[in-house]
Amino acid sequence: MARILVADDSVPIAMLVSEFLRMRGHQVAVVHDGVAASVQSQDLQPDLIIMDIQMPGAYGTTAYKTLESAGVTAKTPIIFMTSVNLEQARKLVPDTKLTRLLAKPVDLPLLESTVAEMLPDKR
Amino acid sequence: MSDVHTPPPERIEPCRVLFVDDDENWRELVTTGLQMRGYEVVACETPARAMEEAAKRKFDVAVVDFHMPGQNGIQLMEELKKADQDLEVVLATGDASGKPAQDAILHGAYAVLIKPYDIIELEALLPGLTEKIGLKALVALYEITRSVYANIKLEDLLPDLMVLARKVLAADDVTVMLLDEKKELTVAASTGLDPREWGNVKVQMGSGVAGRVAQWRTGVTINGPLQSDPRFSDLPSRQGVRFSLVYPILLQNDLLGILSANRKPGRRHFLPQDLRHAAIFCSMIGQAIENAKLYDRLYALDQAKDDFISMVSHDLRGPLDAITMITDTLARGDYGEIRDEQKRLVALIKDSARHLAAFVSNILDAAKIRSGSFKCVMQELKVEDFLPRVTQLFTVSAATRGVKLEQNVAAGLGPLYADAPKVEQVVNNLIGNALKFTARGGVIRIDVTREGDFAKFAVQDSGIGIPQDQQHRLFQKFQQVDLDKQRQMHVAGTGLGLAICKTIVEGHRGKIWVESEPGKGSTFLFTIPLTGTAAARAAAEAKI
Repeated sequence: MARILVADDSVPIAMLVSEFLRMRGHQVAVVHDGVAASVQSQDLQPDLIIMDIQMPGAYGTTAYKTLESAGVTAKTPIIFMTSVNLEQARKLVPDTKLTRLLAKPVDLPLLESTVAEMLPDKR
Repeated sequence: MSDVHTPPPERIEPCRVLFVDDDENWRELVTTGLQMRGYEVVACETPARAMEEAAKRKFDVAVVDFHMPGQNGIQLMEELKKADQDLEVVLATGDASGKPAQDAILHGAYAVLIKPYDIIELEALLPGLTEKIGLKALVALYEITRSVYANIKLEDLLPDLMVLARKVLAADDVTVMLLDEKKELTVAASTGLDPREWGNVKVQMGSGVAGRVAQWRTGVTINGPLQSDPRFSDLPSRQGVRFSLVYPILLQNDLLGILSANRKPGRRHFLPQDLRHAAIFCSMIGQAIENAKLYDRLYALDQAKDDFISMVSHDLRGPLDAITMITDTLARGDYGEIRDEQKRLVALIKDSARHLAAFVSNILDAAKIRSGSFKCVMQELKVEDFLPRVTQLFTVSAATRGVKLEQNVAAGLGPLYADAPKVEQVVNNLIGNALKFTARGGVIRIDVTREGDFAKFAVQDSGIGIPQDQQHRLFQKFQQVDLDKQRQMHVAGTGLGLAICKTIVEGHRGKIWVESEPGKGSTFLFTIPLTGTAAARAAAEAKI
């Protein structure tokens, strides 16, 4: 069972995703902006971050850039949820083995299998 | 002390005539005759002398004898006109046969006089001459009008206007000064001043010639030193400039600035007709400035509108995505098993959300198409990357309606060259429509196959079908779509959707069409180019 940080500025979506994951046995923390995401990921050291790609971060940059400057992105797998189309989203974040992109509205069972894929030893 | 607004009496310069004839007596006769009538005459015996005199000052007309030793009249005429394009030449010939006359006119003579002529005949030609010069100025004014309405940006327009102003007013240099926010006149364009100096020149209302004209809102001509003009005698004298014309630029009742034209020594005075031309010219400038300002505002509004569209579109997606995700979660039974009747209602919520999202997309696209800012941003798009996701949006609603959704993508189909969100929108629209018209137990099939340079998408339903006579109206250009009428028809509800699909598909240089028969369901088909094909290259150049 994994320790997951969910970050989305849409309160209903953040709640839905976090409850879905809790129901399946994970430990989930929820935040609603990029600065909080950065702070919590440093404090909690989650196994995985699930975040909206367009959420604002610090001082007008993106949440991703905020996490990047905090050194989080180098070691933590991140699943990005995006409302913009996938091809455009791929330009916003690097395509590495630590990143995945899912389009919104997110298919939650698909999210579940993606989590399992990225955290194989934490099923 | 005369009223400062009364100009000094206009010293109308007489028409300046260059008279060339080798016959001394004839020369004397005509010169005296013309001078008595108030004309300024310079008489020359030879073409060489004539060219010398023409170089010294500007003449309005040259009267040239056809037969002279050395050079004939036509040759001299051509040389004179080459040196001064505005000069009109009258040729005088003793040969009444008509041939020299024809020749002369063909070479551009203004008129031909048969010698011996009465001075009255010559004089009769001259007013027409001044009129012709006036006409040329009016033609230049016409050119200005065209340029004014062709050029929207003021910084592009003003330089052109300066060039035309010099021509119209026969000036050596022209300056336009405009009022800034501080109500000071600053140089907006000038043929005589270095552009780097423009910002440095600031004239207060009422100060200097420009400032006074701006304040009085009346045009003036200054045909002598400032000291001898009661309106400006208190001002310091100016160097270099000889004659000036300064005219206010007004728009309705607002003063926008002034136009100032100068002539160097050797040129003629500014005449009342120049003031009239300046009046027309300045009203053109006023109009042009107004147009440029309106255009800037329009551009800003257009930008604001686009920003608004982006913002609305972005802000609406969040809640709509949330609705879809939550209803899916409910239907899945995560929060307790729900009964079929409840599942049906949940599916309807999701349907409405999806419908709303599609509708908002269409509205926003329609606005973009209308404003001409609808663009297809092409990229490489793999069918397997987007199609499953679009169909997945419909799985719950299809299941609730008891309609089967099938899809088949041909093996080895390469990536598309397409604008991903827009192609998704097309598929979304077509499946949505199919679902609307397919009854319980029916099937919707989505097939993607290769057809030459294109991928062909076919969305087939087992619905009621569409009669032949109504098929052509389906994709009607949306300006003509009559939504009320559409609601009455059985194909009601397609509304904007298909028209936008058509715009999108055609923006990819593809085609969209329907194959249908009543009772046999419908198939909506469209083609999108595959990457690396000639069709893709054509799409790259496509403009909606």
